[in-house]
Amino acid sequence: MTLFELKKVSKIFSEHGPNEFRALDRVSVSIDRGEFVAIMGASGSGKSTLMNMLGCLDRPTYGTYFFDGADMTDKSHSELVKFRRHKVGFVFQNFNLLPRQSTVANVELPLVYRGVRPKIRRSQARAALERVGLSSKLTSRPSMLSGGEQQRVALARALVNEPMAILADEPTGNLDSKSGQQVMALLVDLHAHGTTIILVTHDPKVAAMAQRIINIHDGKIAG
Amino acid sequence: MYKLLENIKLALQSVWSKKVRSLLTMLGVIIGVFAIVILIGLGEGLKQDLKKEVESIGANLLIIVPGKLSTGSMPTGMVGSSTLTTEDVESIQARQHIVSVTPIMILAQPVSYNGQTVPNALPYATTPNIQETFLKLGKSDILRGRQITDEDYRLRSHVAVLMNGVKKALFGDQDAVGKFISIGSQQFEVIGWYDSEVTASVIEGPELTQIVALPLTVAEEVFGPVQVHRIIATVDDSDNIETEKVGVTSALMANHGNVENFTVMTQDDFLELITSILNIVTNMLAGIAAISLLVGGIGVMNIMLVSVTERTREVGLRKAVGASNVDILVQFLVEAIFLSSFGGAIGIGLAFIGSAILEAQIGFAPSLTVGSIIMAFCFTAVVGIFFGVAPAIRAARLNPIDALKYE
Repeated sequence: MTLFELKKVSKIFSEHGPNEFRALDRVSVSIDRGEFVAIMGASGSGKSTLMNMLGCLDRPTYGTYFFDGADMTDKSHSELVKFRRHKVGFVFQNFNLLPRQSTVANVELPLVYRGVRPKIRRSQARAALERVGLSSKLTSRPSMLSGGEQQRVALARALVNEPMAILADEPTGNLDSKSGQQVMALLVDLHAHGTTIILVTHDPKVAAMAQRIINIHDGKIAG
Repeated sequence: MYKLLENIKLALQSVWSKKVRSLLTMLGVIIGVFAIVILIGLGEGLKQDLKKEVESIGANLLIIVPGKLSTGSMPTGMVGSSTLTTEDVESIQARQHIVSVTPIMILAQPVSYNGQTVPNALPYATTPNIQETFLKLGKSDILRGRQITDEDYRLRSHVAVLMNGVKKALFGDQDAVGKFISIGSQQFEVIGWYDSEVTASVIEGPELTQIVALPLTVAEEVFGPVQVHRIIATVDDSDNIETEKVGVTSALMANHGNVENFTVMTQDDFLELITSILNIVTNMLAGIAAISLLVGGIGVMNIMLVSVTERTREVGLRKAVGASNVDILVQFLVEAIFLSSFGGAIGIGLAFIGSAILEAQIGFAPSLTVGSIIMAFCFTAVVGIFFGVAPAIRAARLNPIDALKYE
């Protein structure tokens, strides 16, 4: 069953201007529920733009985008907010943790915006941190954690609201190989439990862990 | 609801993590609120003090002055021709509820001792009963020597009683009783003087302390026909004051050919007059202080704009995990409101300390009313909203992708 479907989606920056740049050029992709897909490409190939499009962080210039059968192209701001709150979780290359908040507070953040009560929030965040193997670091600040631990906190934050899909943009890009493997193992485990995983990477070894690889080159699907 | 709590917690964390910067930002608001509360308090304190003084002259006095006064102007110590006449004095005297009437003639004569003239001295030629009505002894006043008696009045004695200001100017710290002063070309014996701490009166201003009282009879004999510049009438009961004010006014109108070229004032009228003047002054001062609060508000806006820029990535992340534009707006707005109202609270606290210091140092306490404090506090919250809205909107409008990429 198709979860994500892009139909001839283009993303053009400064269209008709002297610096016009086609980050995506008539891309059509469909990703099924429960799939583990790696989007691979060189730097500047448009792979991050594609992921942002799938996560509704960005809107296409042309083309249509369906999520779970619903047309997301012309959704209002509040509907996109709802989508981000309930349907997807993001993991970024540079972790993007709030430096002044404790680990558990960082993980709670998506639940705060969903309006979950503090007590329930805390226990769900603890469960998520347990799942990534960091239940001993609840009160640590991000600066006291290693890169790998920080990325696992970020992963806990992405899965705390039990999303249908996790979108990970170069999650191992800033990590040493051992930490990277830990993070990948967690993604594989999440996939095994039914979560759809979309992974953006330029590393073929990382991409090889996915079920399917979508190669993107100069904004076009390469096969 | 939980989100709002979370936002308040966030604002506290954000302010606390940058203590020096937050304090400097708040300083503008602190100074502004401090100035507003203290200045309004001073005005209020002054009003209460003057009210007490006016009330001490008694609620049963009518003071009639020449000329029509409108609110907002004080009676002048006008010398020379007056619209009031001795006939008016008699008309008032004839009224049933009037106990006593004191006419006052202000002489345009220099007062000197040993050839030294006091320029401000104010010779009041009047009847002896002024000492029971207008020149009453205050709590801290002591009369040295004696007062003008009915006999002095009848015999047209060349005697004078000095108020503290003019006594000090003429004699310094020496005793004045028994000395002779000149009023115009005439010699008068000082029979008494008031030793008083009071330096000014609301009714006559600093003039009160410059009064040289002498019998009206002798003034008439040596300085020519009687001119009435003031009439002070004592009403039997303060309950009758308003009806007597109307009665006296119409009686005098009849004397004056139906022209109201005089003013009958009660204690309440004086209070109203003084209050209206003080309100203008207080509001003006508070307005000036409000400008400093405005500057403080701009400081808050400036630092909030910096804060938004610094936290662009944070905003991007919050949006990615599900924050709506409104969530972000509220977060930054709460922080701005917190900065300015916390500054306001400190300013109010300082105003209390400042007022205690003022009371200890100069013995005059600004009256910090609940109203002015609540108003100042609300004002700071409004300043926070007003100056916090622009940075908050800027944060809310950030595109999550651009914000996340921001270095």
